[in-house]
Amino acid sequence: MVTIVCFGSLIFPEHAATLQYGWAPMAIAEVATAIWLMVFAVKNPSLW
Amino acid sequence: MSLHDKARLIGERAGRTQRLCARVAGFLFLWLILTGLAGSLTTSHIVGSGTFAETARRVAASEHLYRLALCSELIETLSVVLLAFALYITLKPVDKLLAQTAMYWRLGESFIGGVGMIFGFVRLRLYTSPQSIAALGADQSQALVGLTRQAGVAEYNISAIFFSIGSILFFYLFFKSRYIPGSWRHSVSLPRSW
Repeated sequence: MVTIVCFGSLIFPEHAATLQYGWAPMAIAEVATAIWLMVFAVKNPSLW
Repeated sequence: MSLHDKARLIGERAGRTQRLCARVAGFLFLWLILTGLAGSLTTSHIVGSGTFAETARRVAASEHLYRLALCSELIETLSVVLLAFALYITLKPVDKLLAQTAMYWRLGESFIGGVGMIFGFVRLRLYTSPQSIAALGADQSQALVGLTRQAGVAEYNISAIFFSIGSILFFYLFFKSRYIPGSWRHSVSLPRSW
């Protein structure tokens, strides 16, 4: 999504402001991953 | 100590490092958001709107705060290197080659972000240097500020493309690993018939 948003902003700079909403899913994913990593870290000895 | 015990100790130590890196990566995800937002919101608040002369006056009046905000953005850019490395260590056991590739994309993001910061400091100089304003005049100074702003926008988007590709790879590795709780993994994965 962010890749499309950024290419879109480079190709259609006049729509850059609207395209910025495409960052929302990435923001949610980043915050969720951050909290999950800080709280649970990783617990998977089977991969070693 | 037997060979088996030695191997187990090495495995435990590697596991501890991996868990530490995962927690550091988690912290850095939030740290990046905080430093980036703090920097960009502060600079845009100082710049505000109005003519070049009004903006230059505001920036000159809060020059140190503006510099601090730029440094906050620079710290964000530098922290990406640490985040990329922490995520690489965390996800190396899943797929070393892919984790390495993802780390390179995120490093690219950091380097391009560093170039963008140079534009930020050049813009500050254009706002605050009386010599520049006297030599160029308000119109040309404004045009140059506009040029550095456009370069900054292009840099931001290019850097974000590197960020997104690196993130896609890292998130794919998280998905592929068994680190994510099973119920959540199954709820977002496609049915086998697809």
